[in-house]
Amino acid sequence: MAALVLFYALRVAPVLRIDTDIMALLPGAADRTAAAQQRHSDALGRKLLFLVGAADPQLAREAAQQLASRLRAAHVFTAVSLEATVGAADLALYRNHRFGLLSDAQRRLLSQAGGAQRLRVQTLAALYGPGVMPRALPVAQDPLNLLGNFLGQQVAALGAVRPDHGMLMLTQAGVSYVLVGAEIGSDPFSVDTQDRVMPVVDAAVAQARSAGAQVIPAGVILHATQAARRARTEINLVGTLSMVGVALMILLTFRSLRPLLLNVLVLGSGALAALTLCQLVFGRVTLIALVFGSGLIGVAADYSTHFLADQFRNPAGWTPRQALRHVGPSIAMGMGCAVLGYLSLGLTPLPGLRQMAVFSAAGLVVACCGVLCWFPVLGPPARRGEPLPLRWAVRLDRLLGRLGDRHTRSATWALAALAVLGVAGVRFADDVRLLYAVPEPLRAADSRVRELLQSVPDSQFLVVQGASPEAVLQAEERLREGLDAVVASGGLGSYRAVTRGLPSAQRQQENHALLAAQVYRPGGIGPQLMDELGFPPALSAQRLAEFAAAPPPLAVEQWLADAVSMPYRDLWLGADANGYAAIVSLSGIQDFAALRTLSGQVPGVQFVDQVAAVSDLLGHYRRLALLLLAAAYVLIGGAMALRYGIADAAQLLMAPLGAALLTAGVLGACGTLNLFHVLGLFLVLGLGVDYAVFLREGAASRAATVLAITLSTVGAVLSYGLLAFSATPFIRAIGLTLLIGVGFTYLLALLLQRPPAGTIHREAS
Amino acid sequence: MKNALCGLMALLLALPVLADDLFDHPQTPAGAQAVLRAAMPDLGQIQVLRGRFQQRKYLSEIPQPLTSTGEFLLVRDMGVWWHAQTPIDSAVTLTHGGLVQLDAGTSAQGRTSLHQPGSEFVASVFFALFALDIDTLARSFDLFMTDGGGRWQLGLRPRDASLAAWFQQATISGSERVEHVRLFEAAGDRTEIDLDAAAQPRSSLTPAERQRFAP
Repeated sequence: MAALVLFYALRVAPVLRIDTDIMALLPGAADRTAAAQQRHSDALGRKLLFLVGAADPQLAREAAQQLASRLRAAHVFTAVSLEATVGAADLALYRNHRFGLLSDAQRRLLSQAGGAQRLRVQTLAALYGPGVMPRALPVAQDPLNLLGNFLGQQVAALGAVRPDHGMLMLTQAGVSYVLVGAEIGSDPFSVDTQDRVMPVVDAAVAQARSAGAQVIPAGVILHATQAARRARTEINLVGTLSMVGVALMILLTFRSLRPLLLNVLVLGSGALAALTLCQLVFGRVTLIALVFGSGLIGVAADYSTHFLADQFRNPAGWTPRQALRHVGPSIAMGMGCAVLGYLSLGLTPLPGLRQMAVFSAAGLVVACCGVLCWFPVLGPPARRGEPLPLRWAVRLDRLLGRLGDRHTRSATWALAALAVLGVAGVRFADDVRLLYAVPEPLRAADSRVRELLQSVPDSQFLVVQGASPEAVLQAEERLREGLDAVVASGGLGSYRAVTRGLPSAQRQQENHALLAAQVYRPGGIGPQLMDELGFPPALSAQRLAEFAAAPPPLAVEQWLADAVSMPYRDLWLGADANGYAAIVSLSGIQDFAALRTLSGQVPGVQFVDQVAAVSDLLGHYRRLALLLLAAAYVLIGGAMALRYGIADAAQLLMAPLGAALLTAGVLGACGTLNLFHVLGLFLVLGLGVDYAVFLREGAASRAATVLAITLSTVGAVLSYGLLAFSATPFIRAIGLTLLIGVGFTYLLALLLQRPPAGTIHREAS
Repeated sequence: MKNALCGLMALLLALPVLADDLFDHPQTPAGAQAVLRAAMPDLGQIQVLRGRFQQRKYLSEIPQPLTSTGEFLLVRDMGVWWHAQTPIDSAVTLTHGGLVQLDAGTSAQGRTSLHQPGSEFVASVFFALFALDIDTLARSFDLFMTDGGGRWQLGLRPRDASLAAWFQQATISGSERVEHVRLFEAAGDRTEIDLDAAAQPRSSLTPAERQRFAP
């Protein structure tokens, strides 16, 4: 025990990582696409953005500057972005390769019959148009402003923000907003990251607000922090309340401090062992495993109460050593069955469920060994007299017995009918969004940011894959033709794609060929236009010479290494063993079907809907967990049959099974069920098996056993019943299932497992 | 307070107009507003401004400017319609929202949205410049002003370095109406626009003219 504590304190506690992300439950990236998606969503998750607004744009800019410098000064962000300068010097790479770059509109125009002349007229009209327009290159160097149009196509993808005063700004309803971005270098779900980042964010935001600006922050870490804080508060509250309740109960029953301390010792070592093993095996502990595991501690507490309650069998001559002989086998049997049930969870490929399996098995085994090894030595001597809880439990048992004797048949039928009806009415809902309870202020801020920026990427996106970078770019260009059509029909707000900034080599060559045929040849619209505008012929000749000496197409590596690729770099996923991939991020999706169809039409393109995928996965694992639950019942039934014979095993299983069915029925009547309700049913199974085995093994000492399971039920209701009021939906699901399940289990166990006539409460009366 | 303001204005108006550089005379938005209102008492009420223009673009490497002439129509709170008639027939609508649309001539063969980096900003500034919307202009530019004898000159210099990188400054001058606009690009190109405009009531707009500003 001391070694365990020491090991935990030195090696585990410093690196212990508790994950509030539901995604942590799910399997990690299985293939390359998934890995690519993972990188993409990881990158999104590490981004934070702030819209700093004020009616006076100058105030907004100053506040944004202060906010940015505060964030920078804290050194917790890998990048803080405020400045947005589009300097002409940055465009050198595009200038050099401009003879292969065309905007979609101009490329289409040039490939149409008569299009070149229309382009010439448009260009003239623009030149004779009012005032001045910024140009990427002077008229003499790029008379048709081809590069300007190519770049213009990229600005459209920025959404509502515009470079203004060296920052990215937008104006809505008379309020000017400045966009400030920040990036964290580590996992937003880690408590350590949250503790480092959030105080800085809160202080900087408060400062800007006190300066009179409005600040709308957005980012995954805000959600993660809220969820973690809420979960921690709840677990602390529930933990404290249930501990106090259980402690009172133990003191009231055994009227001595020693049982309480022994309980703490056993449960503590079980929990420590479970945490340590999980951290060692998985490198992290998910919140869900923790919640599930803390429920399991309740099962482990059964062992000690069962052991200690044995003293009421025969208070006069009882010693802890006797108890070992008497209840040892039933405790070991209960533990064996429960571990068997939980280990079946480990058969899934779902890391979250595996963690629960490891956590539960380790906790149960250690707690059980603790009870069996230490209690006989350290256990307290029996106390005289009957404590109140014993009398209550016995009275309840008698009441149930009378009820059962009189109406056994009708009650059984009624319950069975109820269970069947209930279970038939069960509906499942696996939508992952139902599992995220976003606090209202955060939800409001998020939708405000979406509305203001107009180009916040949706969680769905497209992945384009290919054997080479060129293949990826070509596939993406084919895809974009379809995407443009979806945008035009209103099915999509906008999208970001690498080929907006870097056309494929093939496309660049096509562009070059178009220019050679229509623009940069003697008599083409290039020389024609320059002549019309009055440029000396020597300049036209110079343009033609430059065109003839154009460098080879711009390549991916070259482009990635240059500043011009900055707005797209996050989309380029690069290479791995199987090929290359890029992401096309989507904003404002209206028509999902059109996008799915489109992705089916272009080879190498995949529409990724993570929300739907995760929901599907949750559904898949919910079905798997249901099957495993059935398997666990069969396994446990088998183990029981070995010891008690088939008929008795079937009778023993009736209480846990009936309780599970009734619980599912009640839950189904209240709403839809999901994976976490099924996990709750696993815990119900664990408790139900304990109750059934204890009652069977302890038939000779009914009162003591009834007391033990009553104490266990009260403890369970105290600990998980409170979880049913959690604001975190999946915790609530587990808590509610347990609350209802434990109640049914207790009642059914007492009702269905009557002792042989004549042995009832012999010892207690 | 009012007296003091009037005194200050009188003092400003009395200052002799020096022949030196306009950009030696910084002005506050309120000051510029006061000068313009003194010169154009109806400035705030103008609904529709119609007239003709001549524009000359001086580009480096071309000896003679690109000269165009045509008609324009400014509608308060809606935008500017700019119709070049020589040497080619083309029309552009600049709206306050910043969108630029280009028709190939009045025959409207089709409207093309011009989407150049900065074009929306340019469109809104261009509109503000014609409408003498000092508040909008002061957001992005430092103001300079000289005036005397009923004539005034307004100078604009971008405050933002990224804007100043290509747009150096602008001057607008006139008396009862805006008469001359000069735009100077950092690269050395400049554009001169001469305007001859008359104010009209909103009722003078034909439905076809209203349609030009429709979104």
